[in-house]
This record gives sequence, C-alpha cells and structure tokens, in this order.
Amino acid sequence: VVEVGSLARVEGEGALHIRVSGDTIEDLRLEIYEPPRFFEAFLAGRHFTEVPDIVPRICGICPVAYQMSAIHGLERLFDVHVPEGTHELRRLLYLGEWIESHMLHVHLLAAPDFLGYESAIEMAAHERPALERGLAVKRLGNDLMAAIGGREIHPVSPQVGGFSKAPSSRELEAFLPRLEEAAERVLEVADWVGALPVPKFVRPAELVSMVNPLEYPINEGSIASSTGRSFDAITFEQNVHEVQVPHSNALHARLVDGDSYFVGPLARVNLNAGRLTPLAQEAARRSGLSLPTPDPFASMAARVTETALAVDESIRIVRDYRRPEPPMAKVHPRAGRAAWVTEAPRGILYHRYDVTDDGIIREAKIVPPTSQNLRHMEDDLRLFVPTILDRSDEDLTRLCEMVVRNYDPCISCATHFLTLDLARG
Amino acid sequence: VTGVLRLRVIGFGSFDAGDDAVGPLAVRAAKEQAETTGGLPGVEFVEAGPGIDVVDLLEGVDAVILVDAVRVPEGEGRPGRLVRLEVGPEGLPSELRTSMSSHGIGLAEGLAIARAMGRSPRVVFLGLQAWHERAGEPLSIPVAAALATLAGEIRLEARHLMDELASDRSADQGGDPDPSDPPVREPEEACPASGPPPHPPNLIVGAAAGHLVRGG
Repeated sequence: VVEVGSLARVEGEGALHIRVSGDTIEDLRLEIYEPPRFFEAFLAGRHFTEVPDIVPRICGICPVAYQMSAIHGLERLFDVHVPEGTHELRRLLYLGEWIESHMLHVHLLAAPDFLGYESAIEMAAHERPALERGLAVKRLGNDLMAAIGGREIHPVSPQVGGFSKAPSSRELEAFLPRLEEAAERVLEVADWVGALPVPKFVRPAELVSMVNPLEYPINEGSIASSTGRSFDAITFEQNVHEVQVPHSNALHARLVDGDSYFVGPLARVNLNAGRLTPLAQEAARRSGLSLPTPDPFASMAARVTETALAVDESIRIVRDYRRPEPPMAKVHPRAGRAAWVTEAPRGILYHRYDVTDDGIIREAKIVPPTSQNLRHMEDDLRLFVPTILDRSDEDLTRLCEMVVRNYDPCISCATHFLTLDLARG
Repeated sequence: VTGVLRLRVIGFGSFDAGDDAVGPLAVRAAKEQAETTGGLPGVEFVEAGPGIDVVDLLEGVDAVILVDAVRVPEGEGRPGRLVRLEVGPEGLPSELRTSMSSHGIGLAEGLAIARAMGRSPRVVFLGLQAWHERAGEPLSIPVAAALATLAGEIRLEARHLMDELASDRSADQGGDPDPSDPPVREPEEACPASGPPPHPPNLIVGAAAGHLVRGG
C-alpha cells in the first residue's frame, strides 16, 4: 500500500516506551503487532489441502517457512511417505528463502545502521558496489524460490504429500553458474561485514534452535538450547509458555522454568557449529564470527555464514537432484494433532493443527520466531539502555533500533519500526 | 540501451489484507487479459510482495509500471478511484508514503534506493484508492469493482509505454531502426466500446514534477 497524506500510524509499527528516573529504568515496554494471531482463526474450519495456500500469506519475506511447518506437521499426522527427492527439493526451496531474507537484512536493514548512514537510501549512493553484490545474491534466492515454488511471493507448488509440480533437473542445473558465482560473492560479503564497526553486547542468554545429527537443521530435527534443554515439536506447548503481559496485546513466550530465550541465525550457528559446510566456516572466519557467542550484534555475521551455507548446500542439492516421480504421494487424513517446527530465517516457527478425521482444521496455533524473541529484545534493552543514557534521544533511538534489529523482526510477523517514547525524569 | 525493449509490470501488496491485495491481483488480471488477446511481447508481469522488492526489480528493464493500493486521508476522494503518476527522478511525491513496509522501507524508499544505485528505467505508477487493509478480508466492494478497470489501464499503459520506448529508440537511431531488432509493437486491438477509456474522468494525474493532483 502506498499512503497519501497524513494518517494515523498504520498497524504493524513497533513502539518502544521507556521511563527513566536518574539512571534507572522504571519502565520499558516494546510493542509489536502480530498478524499470525488473526490467521489462527482464519484457518479454523478449513480443509487441510487449503492450508499450504493460506499460511504463506502471513509473511511476504518468509512464506516458505509457514508452508513448511504446516506441511511437515500434517504429513507426520497423516503418516504420509513423500516421494524420494522431496526432502532435498523442499530444503532447496527453503535455502532460497534463507538467502533472500538474510541478504535483504544484511544489506538494506542492518548495514546502514552499522555504517552510520541515516537510511538505506543514503547508503545506496555511497555503497553501490557492495549493494549490487549483495542484492544479486538476494535475487538468486528469490529466483530459486520462484523456480521451485512456482511463484516467488506465495509459492503454490508445495503441498501436503509433496509438490503439485516439481522442476526438472535441467531447470535447476541452469542455476549452477549463478550459485558458483554466489559462492565467491558471499565471501566478499563476509569480508565487508567483518570490516564493519560492530558494538559488543555480551550477556547471559539462552539460545534455542533445532538440532539434527544428520544435517544443519531446517525442516527436520528436535529443539535444543544452549543451556542443555531438549524437547521436540509435539511437546513445544509444554515447554514454551505464552504469557499475556499487561502492556502489550502481543503474547510473550518464555521457557518453562526459565525466562526469555533467543531464536534465529545466531542460535542456529551456535548450536550447530559442527555442521557448517567449508564455505560457511570460511564465511564465519571472514565475517568475524567467533563461536560460541551470545552477542546479538554477531547476528549479522551469523546471517552471512548461513547464506554461505545455503549457497554451498544448494550447489550440492542441484548437482544430485532427481525430480520426484510422481511429485505427490497420496494423502489420507486422520484425526489428531499435527505439531511441527522448522527453522524460518528468523528462527523456529511452530505450527499446531487439531484436525478432524475428514481433514478439517478444528484449531490452529502458530508461534512465529519474532514473538518468541520479543521478551528477549525487551530484556536486551533493559540491560543496554542504562549504558547509553548519556546519549541524545536521537542516538538512543538509533542504538535501540540496532538492538531490536539484530533479531530482524519480520515485516508482518512484527514491527515496521520503532517509535521511541522516552520520558526522562 | 540496446537489444529487445523490456517492460516490467509489478504489483505490490499482500493477499488476505483487504485492498492491499489490489496490486498483485490487478497484475494477474492484466496478464491473463493480455494472454487471451495475443500477449504483450517484451512485457513481464511480476506479483511482488513487500515494496522493498522494487530495488532489484528495477534492474535490466527500460520501463516499469508499479501497481499498488493507495491510501488517502479519510474523507478525501473515494475508494476505487484510479491513481496514475509519472514518476520522475525525484521519486514518488512526498505526500505518497508507503505503509506496508519492511522496517520503514516500502515502495517509495525502495524506489529511492534503486535510483541511488543508478537504476533509472522510466517509471509509471498505477493504483486504486483503498478503503481498508484489514487482515483476512477480501477486497472491498468499490475496489473489487474497479479491479478490471485497473487491469485494463495496466494493459493500455503497457502498450503505450512500449510504443513510446520504441519510437524514442528509433529517434535515437536517426529514425532508422535496426531491422534485425524491430521495436516491439502490438497489432492494434480495437478498443471495445464497453472497455475503460484511457483516462477515466476520476483519474488522478500526477505531474512529472511529482505533485499529486487530485482530480475527480
């Protein structure tokens, strides 16, 4: 939507309220709008075959994540055995989304802050070669999504049971030259990110991601934390409690017997450091990512590292690809509970569906990564703001934005951006 | 610029968010109409999501048509009204502000980033005045009613732009176009009497200087 004239702020923007007395924070509240809550109601009463078409509409940046959590959960419930090759093709589709989302974040959202530009627009004029390089890698991710998903924004081919249409080997092989080029470019991006002046902010934190003994986790795996916690999707709601907080209509997630936790690329690289491919290890080294680290400001380097991993793995998948034949398995619905997590670009994305025996969704629950990080962002700010209270309001807003931006809160999963409401006493 | 002329028609917006879906829906409809009437050679139709995508979609083309929903302050205009703007180097007029944006980067900002990076195709904006963008709702009735008009307008605009680009190029080449690279021209299609006129009376026509002129 393009907006004309002066209107009240649109839904989706974030607001940060801080009340300070002397050098003590008396109150700090971060508000973020959450559309997935609406979609939960929208899904109730729908046939399961409609779910893969509805859920990608929740987010324009990470539609595949929503499809993959839903599809895998429903397939597990219905005991579907997908055709050979489906796993790899879905992984490739999802890697495309990681590439697109991570490169967008690094180049247009995070880098202007770290380089001290007022906006991405101002940066574009001064950093054109770096932007061209990063956006070319991003576009490769978008194009992979379009080639496999049938459409870039709301992919149409992924279905419960497989794909309605799978690309040919030739279609995918056409990507090899671009992927090989991207493997070189992404290391240059790592050098660029490694040279940025990045603040340090280390504090104890519980990082949570999927783990998988066979591969860097995306679509399959269990959930683990940096403090040794371990559970799986089917017990997610016993391990993660969503609590209503008085100041926000967004629910705050916290771990049972614990507190706020941190999901996303930084959690993934920490908990899966041993599964980084050689190119990803090289990108980590060059971008200055030294593991383990709970420093949220290392998230940009984690994104570059994962982009390298995604490019590396995409090359392998494309080379070994055999089109699934037939592309879809037969699906017979049954009653029960489908629950699954996958690793969205921003962290674990939980879906749960209670289904009737004729495949109708009775109830849906979606916990996006941004809601899981919300409480952690607030906790970061509570610790960080007292260290920067001597700054001007303008500086303080910028630094708070950088803290929140580390989590890459999603366009429709969360904030558009911060309005700071600071009361100094 | 040499080679085949290229025009990209890009619809921005999200589905299931009321009138915010009008961009991709209109582009889809225009594409289907173009296909049933023999196609528009050299024209690519793209359903995009967030406005930020405009940064890489402005690359490698001679012209683009951007299609999106438009919000105006309450009480102004009427939902479903057609908006057309020629977008010059200064970008979208300052009174046009994007709402559906990623961290404050929407269509206007994406366009400015693309310009700053030296991407300078000709840009025309087409849209409909929105009524609401409520989550989970379909297009509002006035916007749904104007969707076909917008799709028709996109096709006419695409054809005019391709003709103008072809004649600009042939002028650049001393009026002697390379016969191996003929400008793309559609066979003239009779404009159906019931079809939309090229500029409906309620059209908002933006001046090249970037000021939004409210018509109707």
